[in-house]
Amino acid sequence: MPVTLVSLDNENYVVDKEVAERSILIKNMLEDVGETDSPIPLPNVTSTVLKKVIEYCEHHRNDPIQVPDETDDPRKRSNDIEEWDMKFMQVDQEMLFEIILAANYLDIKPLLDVGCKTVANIIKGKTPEEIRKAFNIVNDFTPEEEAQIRKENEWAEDR
Amino acid sequence: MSISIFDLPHILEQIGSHLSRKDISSCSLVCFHWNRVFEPLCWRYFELGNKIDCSRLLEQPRSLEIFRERAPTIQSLTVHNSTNLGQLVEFLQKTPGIFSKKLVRLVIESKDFPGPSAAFDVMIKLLSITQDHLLHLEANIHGIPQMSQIFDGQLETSFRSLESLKTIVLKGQYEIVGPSLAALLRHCPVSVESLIIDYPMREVYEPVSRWNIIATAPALGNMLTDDERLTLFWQDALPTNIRTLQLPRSIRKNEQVALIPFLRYRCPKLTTWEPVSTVRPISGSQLAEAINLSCPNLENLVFDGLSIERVGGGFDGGMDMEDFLRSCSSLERLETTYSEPNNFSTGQGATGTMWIRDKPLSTRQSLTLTSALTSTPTSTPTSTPTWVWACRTTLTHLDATFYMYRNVSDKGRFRKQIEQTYRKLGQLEALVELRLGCCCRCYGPKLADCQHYLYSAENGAAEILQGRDRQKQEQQQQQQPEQERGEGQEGDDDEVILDMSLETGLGHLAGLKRMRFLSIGRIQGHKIGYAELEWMRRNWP
Repeated sequence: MPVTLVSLDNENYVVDKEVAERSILIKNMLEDVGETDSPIPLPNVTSTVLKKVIEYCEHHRNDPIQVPDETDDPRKRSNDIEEWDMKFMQVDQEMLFEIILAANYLDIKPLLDVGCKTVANIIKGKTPEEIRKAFNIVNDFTPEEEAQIRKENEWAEDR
Repeated sequence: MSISIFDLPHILEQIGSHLSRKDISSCSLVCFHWNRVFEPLCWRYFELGNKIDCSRLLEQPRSLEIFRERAPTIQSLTVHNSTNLGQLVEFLQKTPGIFSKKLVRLVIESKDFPGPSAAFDVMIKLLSITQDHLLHLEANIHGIPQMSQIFDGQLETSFRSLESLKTIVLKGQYEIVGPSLAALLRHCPVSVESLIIDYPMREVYEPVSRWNIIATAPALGNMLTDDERLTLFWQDALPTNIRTLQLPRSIRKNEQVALIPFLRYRCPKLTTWEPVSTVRPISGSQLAEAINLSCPNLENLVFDGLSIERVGGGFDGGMDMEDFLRSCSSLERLETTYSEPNNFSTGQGATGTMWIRDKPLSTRQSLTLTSALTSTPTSTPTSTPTWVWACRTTLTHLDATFYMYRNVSDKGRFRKQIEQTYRKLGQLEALVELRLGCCCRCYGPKLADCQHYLYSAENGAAEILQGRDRQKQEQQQQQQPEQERGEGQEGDDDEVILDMSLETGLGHLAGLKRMRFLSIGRIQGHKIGYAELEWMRRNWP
């Protein structure tokens, strides 16, 4: 059964239920309303982003549902991103952030995770100043505060 | 302006989960908002002793203050040995509540510890601080110290306070002794779902009477038999939540004493036991019985790295894998691998371990039966006990090695035994994968010894040699109905292939509709020849 999704700017997208249900938000909505033909409005997602998200869901339609990593073992965490996902995430920063927000809103955990990994990869190896520059963030610390934090962190840092 | 991903702390946290400590530290310096999110993450995985020296921590009041402040954000604490670690542990013990409930993981890395006792001691002390919020315990300690009653008592008390612990991993290379294993199994917290004790066992046999942890009631101690003392030791043992279990390799008589009551009293939810190694034959059946009666959910039983058992055992001493097939009713996977596969090619691997030795067992049984009846002629259907394997509806993966009993006086009956086994294999209706590892499958005059078989198989015929090259066969079996087909064919081909013992069996296997993978005799081969392959190709699309 196909499902119609409506973006913020009123574009309609018809997708298979199976694809739409990659989003836990939509899955729950469908479960709540039962069988329905009425379109599902997604007022937080623009059509360009929704198109991207649907592309992702189509590609991953048959993936097993992700089990949360209960052990939370830092060593078991993998930072690898699948090749397809990597390509998929090669977008400008604005789009990347939009996708992450959409994944967050639509509750598509694997997509959110890939997004976060991508951001983490941008951060890796950068100094605080470089991170600020990369994401256009204003430094609101006084030099003293910064020095203080630096000192405290020293404890936990790898040396 | 619309919301940014950085406004959502949980997204920042998730980003942080993919970063190293160094990167997280950089992130915490970016701005106030990031600092609030990332600063706690800095200390999330805290390692003590390796990079952060305890003496430095203790000697500088300012550092200690920071530590005290940040300690509640620690989620995973790894402890290495370090100067003044003892003092720090003492300090921690004196500062209750220094760790918050966030601390769910404790790791002891012992490579620098002076010995297992020291590391174990630190572990016990730290456990008393973390208490009920700890979920995961991992200790890479060289060995588990030999248990004294004091240790045993400490272990019991500290394990008892761990009410949420889900996983225990204890790993190391030094041999541990029976009583230590017994103590761990006995005191394992009830909440644990996964228990991994990965140590080699010491080979020396130590009678239970010398297990100092057991005679806890000195007044009675000397008057009790070993069995009574053991009963006392296991008394009031509560069932745990253990689902997956890994225990030391080479479980021998000594350890069985600990193992069987453990299975009996504490593992009602066990589903996976992997890997299991060398189990003494006498206890093999006890083990199977314990599993059968007390672990009704066991699905995966994987024997790994089996090797020749040097203590006792011997050719006829191997455990009979059939015990498990016969009695474990929910088994889905029964697999075996060997650490010394070379031995098989010389026939030597037979010495000692554990396979479905269907026929030795059955042969032995019918032999005694026969002698009781004063030698029944071959033709009379000497009542071969027709067991049905308990797991016949659940077993999907079977990887086993058949081994034959050497002394066969009655070839006809023996052949029936073989066939009987195939029949039972054929009843495993859920079977998807079947690997019949090795060891020869012939009978008759060639039975003299294993070596002989190897050659005889090769002497057999060029066809067989060719057949051997193709032994690994993958076949897609289609939904072709049924057994009758197989059976009919078997009748027809009887003359042609009867001699190949597998053929008496192959027909039986034809009913296994779900089978996707069949691998036969990689090492010493069930005797399967070209003719069979042809037959399979024709009849088993």
